[in-house]
Amino acid sequence: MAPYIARRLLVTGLIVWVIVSLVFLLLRLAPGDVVQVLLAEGGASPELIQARRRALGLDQPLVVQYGRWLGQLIRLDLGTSLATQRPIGPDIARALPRSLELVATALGLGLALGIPAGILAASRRGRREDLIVSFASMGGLSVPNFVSATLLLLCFSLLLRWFPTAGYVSFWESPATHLRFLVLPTVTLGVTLAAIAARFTRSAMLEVLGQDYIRTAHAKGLAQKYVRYRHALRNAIIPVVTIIGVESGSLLGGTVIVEYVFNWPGMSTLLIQGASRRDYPMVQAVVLAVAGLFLVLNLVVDVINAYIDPRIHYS
Amino acid sequence: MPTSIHASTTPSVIVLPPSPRRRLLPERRLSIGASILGLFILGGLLAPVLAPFDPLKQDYQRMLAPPSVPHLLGTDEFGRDILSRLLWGGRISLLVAGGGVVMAGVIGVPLGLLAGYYGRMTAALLMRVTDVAMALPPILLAISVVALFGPGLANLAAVIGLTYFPRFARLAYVATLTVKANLFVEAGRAMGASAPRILRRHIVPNILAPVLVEVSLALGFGILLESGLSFLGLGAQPPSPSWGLMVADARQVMSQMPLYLVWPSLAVAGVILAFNLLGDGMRDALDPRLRGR
Repeated sequence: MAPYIARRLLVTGLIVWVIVSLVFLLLRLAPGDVVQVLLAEGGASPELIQARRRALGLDQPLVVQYGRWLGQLIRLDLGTSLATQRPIGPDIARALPRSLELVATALGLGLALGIPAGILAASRRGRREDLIVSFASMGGLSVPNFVSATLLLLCFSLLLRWFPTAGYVSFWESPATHLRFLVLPTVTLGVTLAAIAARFTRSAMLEVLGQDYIRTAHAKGLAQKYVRYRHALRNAIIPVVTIIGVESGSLLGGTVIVEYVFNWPGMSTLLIQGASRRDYPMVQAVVLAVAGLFLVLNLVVDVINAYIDPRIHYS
Repeated sequence: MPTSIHASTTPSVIVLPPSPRRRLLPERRLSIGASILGLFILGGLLAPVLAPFDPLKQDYQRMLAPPSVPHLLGTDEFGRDILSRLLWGGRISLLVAGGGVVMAGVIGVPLGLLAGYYGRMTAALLMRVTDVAMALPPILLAISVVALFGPGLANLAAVIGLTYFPRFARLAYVATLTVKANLFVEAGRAMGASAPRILRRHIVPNILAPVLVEVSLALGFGILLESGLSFLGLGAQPPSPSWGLMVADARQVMSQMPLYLVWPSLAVAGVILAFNLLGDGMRDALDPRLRGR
């Protein structure tokens, strides 16, 4: 397995490098020079623009800029925000754990709901339970996050007043309040994930339950439960793990909207503020951080899969 | 095939005899999806005729009016008729999503087709390109494009095309590989048919079914992205009656008029549901072997 992991690491490294380079190029291909766009809109003199360009190193040849950019990244220096003139690294370091917390709780909820629902639907195929699960997961997939988030906010915060409207309190300040703020965003994201998990678990289970060895297991008189969990589930869970890994990456994207609705001060604040102020370095940093995380997650999933499934051998 | 596993993107092709029960369900999903969608398309097309009011006309005498006779769904915070705005908004969503998906298909399908037909180097290259494109969550890519080029509907359509073409490419690639292995392709080649002819006559018609399914799912995704970005203020700009913007507006006044939030929410969820049902039903009805998800 070690060579497999090594190769996956190499591929992941390559993709990271490509993304880093793409982000670099994209910034340079943007219409107009960053400084030019920003300062010219403010009516700055050409001398000032020249001075700022020099300060940011934009007057250097592209190759030099590229080298400097890579050097910065290797030192984990994400650059300086154009809007606030402060280094971006600390901002990301503060926001990222908050977003990850949301992803983690949503993943937990989604799996805890989705996998059992999928198993239930598959084992009661075509019956009422199956229809209910299929219907619910179709609904969960079709309601966009921003709609469900807003509706939850309306129902449970404004009308029923069970939860505070929106905001954030650090866990260390007040654990209880922190958790109360966490509930609605987690539910919003978790329900979508549960819908996805239920669908995949169901179809993976159905595929496995149709196999010959399941019939053999039944024929030799093993208990229904034993066959379902020891034979079927263990094989069905592999594609589900893969999908969940991929989905938790887009979950990281989905948090953007949910964080925005619930005023959760994670990556989305940085991203949306960055985008609306056209603060390129900030957007670039967030994109790199999330893409990096996503790739690491995929890597982890692949390794987990290789670990659970002894049949996966990669020459 | 590359050594890494991509169970998510490579539909597993497994021959399973469809049970009678399974064969019934897709048709029902199809018809429900098609009817909901038909309603929305009709509403969008006929908006100029059907909409009782100008979607942009403000009326300060009737702000946030509850549903009543001239304003069937009530009015928004500027006194604009909500029903009329919904009807016109459907046009925006469908057009933007449609434009984006056409773009994604036009770029992605030929790429996948060529990679699948001509084999190794092109294929390896293409798969790495799609790996990179798929490493970014779509909404992130969308927001970065908006940050670079500014918000706007044309940019949104481009974003949808950009985020979705790798999926089309991968799908077409996998499907082409499967079709290419058939004897009739080899027979065609043995009879001296040119590559373009084989592609056009034998391969394209056979990969159309999965592509069609993906088109439907992609349209749902496009609408999701359009409305989501408009909701964040990074897509359609006010006073445009985009559904995402309407949800955002309704959110500002939801404690005073919760119903206003319900209408655009229903519209967005309804269209996406319709596309999902349609795509899902088509997948099962057209090709029982292609049970990827």
